[in-house]
Amino acid sequence: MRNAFLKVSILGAIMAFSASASRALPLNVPQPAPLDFKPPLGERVELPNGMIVYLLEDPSLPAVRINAVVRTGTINDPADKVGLGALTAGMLEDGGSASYKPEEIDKTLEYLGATINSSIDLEDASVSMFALEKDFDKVLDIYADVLMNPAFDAEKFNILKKMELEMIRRRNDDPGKSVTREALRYYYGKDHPYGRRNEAATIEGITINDLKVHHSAYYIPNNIIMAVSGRFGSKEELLTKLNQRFGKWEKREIKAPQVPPPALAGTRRIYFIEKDVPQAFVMLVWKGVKRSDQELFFPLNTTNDVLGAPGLSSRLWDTVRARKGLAYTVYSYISRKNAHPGHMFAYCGTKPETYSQAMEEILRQIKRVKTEPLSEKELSDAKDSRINSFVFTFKTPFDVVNQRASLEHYGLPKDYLETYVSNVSKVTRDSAFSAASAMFDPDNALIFVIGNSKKFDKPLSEFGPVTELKED
Amino acid sequence: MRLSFLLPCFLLFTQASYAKDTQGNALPPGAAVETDPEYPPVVSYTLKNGLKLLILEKHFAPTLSYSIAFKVGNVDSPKGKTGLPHLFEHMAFKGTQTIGTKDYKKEKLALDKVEAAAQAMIAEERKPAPDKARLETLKQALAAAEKEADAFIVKDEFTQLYKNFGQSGLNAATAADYTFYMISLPANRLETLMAMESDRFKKAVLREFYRERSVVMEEKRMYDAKPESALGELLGTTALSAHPYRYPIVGWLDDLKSFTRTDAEVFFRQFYVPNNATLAIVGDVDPAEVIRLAEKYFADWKPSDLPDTNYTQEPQQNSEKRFDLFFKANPSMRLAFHNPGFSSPDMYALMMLSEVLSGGKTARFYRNLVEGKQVALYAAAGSHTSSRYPSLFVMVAAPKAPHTLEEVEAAIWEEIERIKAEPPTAWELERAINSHEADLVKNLESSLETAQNLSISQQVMGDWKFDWKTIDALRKVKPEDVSAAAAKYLVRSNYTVGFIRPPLAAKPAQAKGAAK
Repeated sequence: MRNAFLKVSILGAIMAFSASASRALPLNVPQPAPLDFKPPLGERVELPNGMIVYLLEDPSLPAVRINAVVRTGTINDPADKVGLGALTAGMLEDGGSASYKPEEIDKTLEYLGATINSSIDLEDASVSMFALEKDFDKVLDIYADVLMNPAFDAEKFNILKKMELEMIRRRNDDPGKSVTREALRYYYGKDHPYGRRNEAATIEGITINDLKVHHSAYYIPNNIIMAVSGRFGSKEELLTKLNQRFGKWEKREIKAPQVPPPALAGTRRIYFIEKDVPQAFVMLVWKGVKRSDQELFFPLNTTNDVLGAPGLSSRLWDTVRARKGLAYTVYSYISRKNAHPGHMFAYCGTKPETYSQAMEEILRQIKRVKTEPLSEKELSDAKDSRINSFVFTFKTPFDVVNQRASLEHYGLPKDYLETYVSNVSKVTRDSAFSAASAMFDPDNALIFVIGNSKKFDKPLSEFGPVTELKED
Repeated sequence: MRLSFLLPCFLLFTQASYAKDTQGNALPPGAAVETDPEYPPVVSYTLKNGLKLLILEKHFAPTLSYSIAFKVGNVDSPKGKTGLPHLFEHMAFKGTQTIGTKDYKKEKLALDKVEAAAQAMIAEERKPAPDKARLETLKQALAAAEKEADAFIVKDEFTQLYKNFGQSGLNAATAADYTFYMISLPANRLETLMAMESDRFKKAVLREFYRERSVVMEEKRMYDAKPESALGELLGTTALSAHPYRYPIVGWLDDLKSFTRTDAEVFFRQFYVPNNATLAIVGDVDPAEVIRLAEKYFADWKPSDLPDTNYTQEPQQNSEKRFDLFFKANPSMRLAFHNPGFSSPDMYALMMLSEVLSGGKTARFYRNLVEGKQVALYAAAGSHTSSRYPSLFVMVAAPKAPHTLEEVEAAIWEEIERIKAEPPTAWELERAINSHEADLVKNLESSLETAQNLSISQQVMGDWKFDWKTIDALRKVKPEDVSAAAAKYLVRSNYTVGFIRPPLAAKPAQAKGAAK
C-alpha cells in the first residue's frame, strides 16, 4: 500500500523565537531565555489521484480531526446562480450520499458525538470531520462518501433553499453586520464576485442539477488539500485508510472561471442608510494588496498592528476608545484575497451624537500612518508581538496541518512558516512607511454609514459626497 | 456502557505516582495529582490565603494558557449599581501601582482630584433639577482633573506588555455568576505572567475610570442595536421579578452614570480576594514550578471575609407573561420557564429535556419544526441561563415566512405536551450522553478553553470535575424523569414569552403574516 503514494516529503524546521526585549518590565522579573522551539510540521503526501494530505499524529486525545480544503469559493458562482457554492456546501452536510440517507448520517454522527461540517467562503471551501478515535473508521466512511458522492436529496434541498431565502429576508436585522457587507458591496461593485451577495432571485433559480455540476467541477481529488491530525495510529495506517476510501476517486481537469478585476472608483464617496438604531455603524474601505504580495504584506501588517489591528492596544484603540470613550468596537483590518488585490478597512460603532468625532479621529489616524513613519518603539513593539506570538501558530497538531493546507491552497511560499520570523524581523521603519504611504488612502476611502442622522453632530456631507440608499 | 476515553492518553504522562508531577518532580506538600483515569491528571494546590491552583500539563507546543476565575458576577452588583462587576472587569486592564504609571505617588494625588471632581459632577447630575451652568463647570473641572492625571499614565502599558511578550487570546468576561480573566503566552513567560497577574489583583489602580464608563455605555448601545440581545435582556427582566439575575450584565445606563470609582474600589476589596478565586494554568509547564511561583507572587495577597450572597429569592410566578418588543427587525421569539437550580436533582432531567428537544438535527425541534412542519428557521432550548441560583430554562426560535410567531409557539407547545405524555426513547438519552462525552474531549483540545473551564467549574460549582460529574448525573436520568420534569416546570403558570415584532408604523412587507 505504501508504495502507492508517490511523493512524500518530510518537513522539519528549526525556529528560534527571540524578539528584542525592547521594554523593561516595571516589575522585578528575570528576563527569560529566548524560546527555542522546533515545531513538528507533519508530513505532506500526495496520493496518486492528486489529493494532497498533510498529516500529524496527535496522541494526546482520543479523537481524529480532518479538514479538506477545496479549491473553490463563492467567486466561482455563475452570475445568474449566485449562492450555488453555498447551497452545494450546505447540501454536502444535509443531503445524504450514495450509500447513506440523510437521516442515517444525522443519526449515526449524533449518536457518536461526531460531526461533519461543510462551508464555503469567497476563495475557499472546506469539508471537515471530528470523530472519537473508536469511531474513526465509521465516520471516515460517511465523510468520504459525502465528499465524493453527495446525493443532494430533493426534500432537503427544498428546505435548505427556503432557509437561505429566510436568511436573505433577515440580513439587515443586525446593522453592524449589514454595514460590513454593504460597504464591500459598494466598494467592489454589486455584481463583482468580491462584492455581490446572495439574492432571492438567483437562489430560487438554482436546481439540484446545478449543484451536481458545481460539485463535479470542484470537489475532485486533485483540487483538494486535506489536513489530518489525531490518534489515527501510524502514518501507514492512516494512508491505507485514506487510500481505501479515496483511491478510486478519479482526478479530472479543473476549469475555474477567471474572475475579472473589480472596477474601483478610487475616490471618496459616502453611502448612507437611515436607520433609527442606538449606534452609528461606520465602515471605511480602501484598496489593499493580494495575499501573495509578501513584499507589501509584512510591512503593511506591521503598520496595521500599530494603527488598529483587533486587540487591546493600538492607535485607534488608544484614541477612539480608551482616551475618548467614543466606541466599544473600533479596529482596522487588511483583507486577504488571492485573485485580485483585496481591501483594507476600518470599522467603528459609536453613538450618533459623537459619530463625527470618531470618524475624524479614525481618518486622522489613517492619515498619520500614511504621512509619518512609526516611532522606533511602536515598530519594535509590533515586531516583538508578531514574533513572540508566532508560536501560537503551532498550538495544536491540528492547527499545524490545517495551517499548512491553507498556505498551500493560497499559493504562499513553501517555506512561509520557516521564513515568517525573519520576514517580520526584516521590516524596518522605512519599509513599513513606504508600504503604508503607498497603500493607506483615507482621502479616497469609501465610507458607509448606517445610523440615525437626526442625532448626528455633523452632517455626513462634510466628509464627502453622500448617496443615500434604502435598506434592501 | 461507560467510556473511559481519557485512560490511554493521560496514562502516557502521569505514571500515577502520587504527588509527583509528570516529569517525576516532587510536588510540595499539600499538592495532589488526580489519578483517576476518568479525569485529566490535574494538579491541585491551595495557598494559605485560600487561592486555589489547578495545573494541567500539555507539552505539544511551548505555550501556556492561564485563567483566573472569581466567584463574583453581575448577580453580586450592589443595589442601584448594576453593571459595576462588568465595568470593574474593564478596569482590570488599566494597570497597577507599578504598571501603567510614571509615578504612582503623584498619580494617586491626581486621581483623588479626579474622583472628587467626578463625585461633585455626578451629585449635581443626580439632582431632581440640575443647575445647567454649574453642571457645565463641574464637567470642565472633571476634564481638567483627568488631563492632569493623564500626565502620569503610561498608555495601555499592561496590555502592551502582554502584547510584546507574544500574548494570544488576552481577554476577560463577566457573567451573572462569575468573572474570569485569561491569556495564553509563550511558556517561557510563566514568571512574568505570575508577576503581572498578582500585581493586577493586589495593586489594581482604577485609572481612567470615567472614560471607561463611556466605553461601556457604547457597549450597552451596541447590544441594544441587536434585536437578539434586546430580546434576551427583556426576557430576563420580565420572567424574573425579584432575583438579581434579572439585571443586564452590562448594567442599566442610568446605573452606569451614577456609580463612582470609589464604589468600584469598595466592590473590588470585597470580592477580589484570593479566597474567592481559582487560578488555572494549562500547557507546557512544570507544576512544581507553577506552585513555587504562585507562592512567590500570590502568597501575600490578603484574604478577607466574603459578603453575604443570599439575595432575594424569586417568588413563584403563578402567571403567564407575554410581551411584544417592537424592533425594526424580522420576527423572533424567546420563551422562559423558571428552573429549580443545581441544588435540585431535577436540573439534570431538565438538561436532558433540552437535549431531547434541541441537541442536534435528530432532536425534536429540528426534526419537527425546522424540517417536518417547516415553520421555524431555528428553534433551540437551554436548561439554565446561570448556575449559582435557580435561573431560567430558555428557548429561542424564529418563524420562517410565511409562518408566524404564533404558529411556532403552538408547535413548540405541541412538542412540550408530547414529551410530558410520552417519555423520550433510550436512544435519545444515549445520544445526549455520547455527545457530552465527545464535548469533554473537544474541550480539552484548546488549552485556553481548558484553563477557563477548570477555573470556572472549581470556583463557581466548587469542583473542577463538574463537567465530568454532570455526565454521571445525566446517566442516572430515566426517560420518565424527563417527562416528569417537563410536566413540573414547562407549564403555563411558569411561562414567559416575548416576541420581536416590527413597530406598528413600519411593518416590513414580509412580516405581514406575523402581526396579530
